[in-house]
Amino acid sequence: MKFAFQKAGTLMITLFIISIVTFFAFQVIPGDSATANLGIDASPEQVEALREQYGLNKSLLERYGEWAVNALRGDFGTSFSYRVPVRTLIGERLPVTLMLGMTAILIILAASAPLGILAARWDGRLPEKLITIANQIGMAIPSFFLGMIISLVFGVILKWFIPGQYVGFSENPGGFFRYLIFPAAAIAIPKTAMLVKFLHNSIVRQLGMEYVRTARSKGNSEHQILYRHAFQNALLPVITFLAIIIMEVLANSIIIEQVFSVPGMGRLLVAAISNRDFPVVQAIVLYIAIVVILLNGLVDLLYHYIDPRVKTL
Amino acid sequence: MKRKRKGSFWAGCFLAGLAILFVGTGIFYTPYDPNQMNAALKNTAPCWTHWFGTDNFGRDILSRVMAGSRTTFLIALCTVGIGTFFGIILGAITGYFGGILDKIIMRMNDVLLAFPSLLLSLVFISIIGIGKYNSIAALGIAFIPSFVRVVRSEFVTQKEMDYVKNARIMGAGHGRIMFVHILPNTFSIVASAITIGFNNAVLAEAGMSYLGLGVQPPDASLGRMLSESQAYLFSAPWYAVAPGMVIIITVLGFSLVNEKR
Repeated sequence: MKFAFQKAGTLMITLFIISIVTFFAFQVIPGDSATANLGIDASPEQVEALREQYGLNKSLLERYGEWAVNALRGDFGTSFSYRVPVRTLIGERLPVTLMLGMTAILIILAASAPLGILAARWDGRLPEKLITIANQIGMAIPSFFLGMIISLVFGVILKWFIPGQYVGFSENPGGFFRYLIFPAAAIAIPKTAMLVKFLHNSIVRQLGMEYVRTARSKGNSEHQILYRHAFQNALLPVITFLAIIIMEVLANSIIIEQVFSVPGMGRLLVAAISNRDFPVVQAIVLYIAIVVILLNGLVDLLYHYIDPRVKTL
Repeated sequence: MKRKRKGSFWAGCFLAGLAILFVGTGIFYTPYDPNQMNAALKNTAPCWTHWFGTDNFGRDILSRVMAGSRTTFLIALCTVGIGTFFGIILGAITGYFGGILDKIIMRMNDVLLAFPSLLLSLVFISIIGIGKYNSIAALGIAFIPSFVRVVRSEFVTQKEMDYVKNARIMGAGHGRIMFVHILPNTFSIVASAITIGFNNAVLAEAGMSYLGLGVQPPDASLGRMLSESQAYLFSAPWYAVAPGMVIIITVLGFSLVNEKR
């Protein structure tokens, strides 16, 4: 319990530092957003009025304080290009990205556990070799290229879905998931390859250990040894790796949303970067940072819970 | 077991060599001018004069892929160069001296390392703006933390070795011990980190230019070609083949070469 509190403390400090960095990083950009927003033809009075409206005429520290307090309440100001509160923009898109990411992670978990066990069971034989070759190719394909192949095969040739024709959840929940499965697969396949490889190596390492020999000499069946002994012990290092996979899924969904025109956080971020819509960029960066930090904290806690000797602060 | 792994290593050498040869040729020679348009040859399917067909402006896809992979390779090399250079300096200092500076730098490093490199580069791009040199800078900075981690852990183990103590007794200064004695011994680990970093940089650059946040037209780039080809997936599916294949062959080749034992 004490460990959990200490962990929470360091997480808070890290988040505080990240909030400072995200805020000040966007202050060093030449020309403030008021001039960028009005164009070069604006009169000085107009610029001054807008600066007043956005609060740009206050000191940096004051503005950071205001921004941080508002951000804590979930208020990230108004988007420059959409002219609506950032909170509304994110509120509409966050569930879509979350659903996409969760579907992708489900596919990864469902596919890599059996494949990893299969590869370890037949280590050095044909099934393992085939899986290893598929893994190497899977890891080398950029997810967006895979997305295009999926669009071509399942969209254009087989006509199972219409590429680019996104179906909203509120219009048609069934259609939403049927559409989402394809971008999710494009994200999941390269990451599945990574996880299968990792799991395979991890199980094979466990199978070479002394306790496996003991278990075998006590008369346990190979099936029991593989599932009850080796697989369960092989899972511990997988937890950390899983956190990396979740982060990669998050990063790849930015690109995949573009490929399949899914209106999620990724498309919002890319559009905001192109339009130099800084309130939106700041908010998304902070959101992502929070997810990343919390996830890492959770992994450390989980580790500590499973193996109390581990104490990483 | 051993034979199979050797086989995959040579397959990797072959693929990586193929990619290097392809890009190397592209520096001196392309079959056509990569930016020359030809209205009569719009979206031509692959044929003898245009091996990979032409795009929507009638430009030869093979020539454009050669030019584009040249850009991608250059950016990836610069990225890895920046990452290695600062990674070695920061990793050497933190690993060798330790202490409070090490704690502070590594804490920040770990936070940065928690973010996927593509995400980190996008954040930097949003601050410094879009462009070829900006994406080199953004990717380069985003790749530093992973190199720092690798180099630091090598320095931490190496500095306890006897040869380092000997060198110190012989009167070698810290700088000399760090960069003349220890650094060459970290070569194999750093080389492997460079190969992995190069692959990740190729993928990240392709992803960024696919999003339109990397290299800008008229410069050809693999990611941008793929994003342009998407509009013609139905009418000209061959457009995407060549740029996609170059990325896959490169990444596959270098990762197979890097496979351990």
